[in-house]
Amino acid sequence: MKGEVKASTRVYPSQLAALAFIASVTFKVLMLPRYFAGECGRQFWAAMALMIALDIATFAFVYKIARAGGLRSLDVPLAVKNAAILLAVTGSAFKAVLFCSETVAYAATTLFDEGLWRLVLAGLIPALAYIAYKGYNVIARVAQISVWLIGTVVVLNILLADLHGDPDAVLPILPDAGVAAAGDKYLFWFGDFTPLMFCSIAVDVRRKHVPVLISLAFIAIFTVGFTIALACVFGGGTTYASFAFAKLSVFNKLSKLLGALDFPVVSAWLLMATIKLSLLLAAVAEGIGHFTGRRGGVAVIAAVVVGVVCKLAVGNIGAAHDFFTGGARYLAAVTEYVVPMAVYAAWELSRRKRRAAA
Amino acid sequence: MKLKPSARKWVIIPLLFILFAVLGNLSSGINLLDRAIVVGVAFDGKPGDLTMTAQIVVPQNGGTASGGDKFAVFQSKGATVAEAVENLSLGSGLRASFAHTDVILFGVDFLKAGPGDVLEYIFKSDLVRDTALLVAAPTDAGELLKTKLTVGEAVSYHLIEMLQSNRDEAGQNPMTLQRYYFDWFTLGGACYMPLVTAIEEKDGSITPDSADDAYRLELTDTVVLSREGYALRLGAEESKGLSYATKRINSGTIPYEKEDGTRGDAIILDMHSDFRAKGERSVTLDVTVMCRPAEKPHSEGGKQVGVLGEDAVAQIARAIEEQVIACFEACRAEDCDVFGLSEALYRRYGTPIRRDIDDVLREIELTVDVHVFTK
Repeated sequence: MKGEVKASTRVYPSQLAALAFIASVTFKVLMLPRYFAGECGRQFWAAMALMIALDIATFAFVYKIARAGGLRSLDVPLAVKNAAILLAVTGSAFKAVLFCSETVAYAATTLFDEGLWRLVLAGLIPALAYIAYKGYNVIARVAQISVWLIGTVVVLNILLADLHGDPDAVLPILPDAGVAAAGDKYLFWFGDFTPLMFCSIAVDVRRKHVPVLISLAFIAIFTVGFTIALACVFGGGTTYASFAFAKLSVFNKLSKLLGALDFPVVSAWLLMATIKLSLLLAAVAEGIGHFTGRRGGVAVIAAVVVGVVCKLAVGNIGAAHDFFTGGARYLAAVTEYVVPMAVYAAWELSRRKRRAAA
Repeated sequence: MKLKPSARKWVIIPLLFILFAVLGNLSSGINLLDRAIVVGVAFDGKPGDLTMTAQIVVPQNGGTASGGDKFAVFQSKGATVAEAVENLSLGSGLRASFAHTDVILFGVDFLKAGPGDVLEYIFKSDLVRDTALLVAAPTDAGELLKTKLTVGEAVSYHLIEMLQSNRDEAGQNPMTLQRYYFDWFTLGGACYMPLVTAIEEKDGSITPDSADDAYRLELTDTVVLSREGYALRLGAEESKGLSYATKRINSGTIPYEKEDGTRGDAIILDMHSDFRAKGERSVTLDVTVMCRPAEKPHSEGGKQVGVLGEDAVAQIARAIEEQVIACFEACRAEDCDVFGLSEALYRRYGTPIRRDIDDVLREIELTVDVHVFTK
């Protein structure tokens, strides 16, 4: 069983790069810009830049852990490892509920007239369960393939955009306490790399940092660039832009001729959301699998539980927002930022002790 | 029984097809023929008592842009937009679909009552695309949507054509839903939209069979709105001033008087403007115009004709300056910062401008600096 688990978490550097990009970007370009704009006005792009810098710094620790073989096989004290795994599982489960709610709300609005959550959940959950059941390397392969499709949609959007923005709309640049407060309030939408701690990198990566570095650069450019573009096009009106990615990416030049042309963007984003949610569920399965020895069944159960919680306990996007911006947000601070750093510190200490002993 | 990995896909693929079929039947998909494709929508009444008029294409009739009976106009009432939309669907027997709605009309009385809630709902709910054009009507917007036009087109389509084909000319000031919200959230908060008027054409009809009661549309005036709603109506000259100050123009003419006292026209090749903050209460509008005379250059009795001399250039610059200032003063009198000057100052000087926002527009000094280049 142990061997199977390890094989399912093995990914190539380029796959890890694609996963990191999708894991980080997907839910930062949907509801978050609107929330940020409501919280800190026209400086919301600065809040995004600040938090992305923090995320990228955290990724350094996650990457080191993945290079060392992943959290489960890391040589750290057992108590630290178990605590880290439990926290990673908890954080991933909560995030899965939040992001599943956003995905369902988005799909219900853009794909269905009636907007019934149960229909979307009925379609989404089996897909998530199956991909999460297949494990990290399958998710990574899907991400590696999808990233080109997503890139094509984004490039076409840039080429076909007919946006009448005002580049000066980001002025004056006066980041104040509101920027940090917004980052604090929406912690749950950041630090998306914790599930990648379970990955192990398949080949010697001494000279294979390039894909990951490119991915980090794209994460920074895409998220911050996207929020700046939103600020230029919608200004303060971003606070009313419910699904930012769909609002900005509508192939304007073509949609003027053909009418609404949302589907390429909707499908590209849904693909990203499916990968991201599967990754979170796979992290839950991997973590629980560490204790129970069974991973596949856990993934399916986790997917069903997330679906049921979304439908019965959350029910609407407002409830999800209120819960995850309340006291619960500090859980994300721990699971997404403290855990990777603590695990890395513990591993580094163990290594030093071993060296000293040798 | 454990299946071989190679055989699993033959179980999974049919299962997926079954799942898709089941899920497909769970959603109540609506046939295209059961949809009312709304191409233009008008709002009248007041918040809480809305009248919504929708011009729709009826697919089974083979609706085309040529208009005629292929379009139908339905009216509904409701306390909210959602209720009016629902009543529209009930009244027409078709599910109203706004994905192709390109123009939204508002009666001036409706704008005076405050369009905020309606526009906010439309924008937030993604009911129509953000690029939908906003247009004001002097009286009843719904009635205007029903107008029979000399060109034989549906009002919505004709309005869109007018606004899109003349969008780079001075005097027409198109406004999209997206831009409306951008302006609404600036420090001044003033917005504008073109005002469409229907002019009865007794003799000048293009289509003979519609000569008796056909109208043509005109878009020379502009309505300015504060955050609360309707503020004032700009005439044709002031509307041109608004265009010069707020958008890039690359067509249209500016008349001037020639040395011999006759009238000449300068054709605008390119025009752009930029607000420059000079002090905390001083803004300069730099307008750069590239133009050429309508007349081809030639020689008459040894004298060069068809070139823009210094006097003509000065007249053009003065005309632009006067129109811009006229627009600015008319709006300032109504406490409307339609040029977004307080926003320009805020971007340059930051917090002090926001603090003194109530006084900024009243105290602001606008200088218009027109640079005319001839070709």
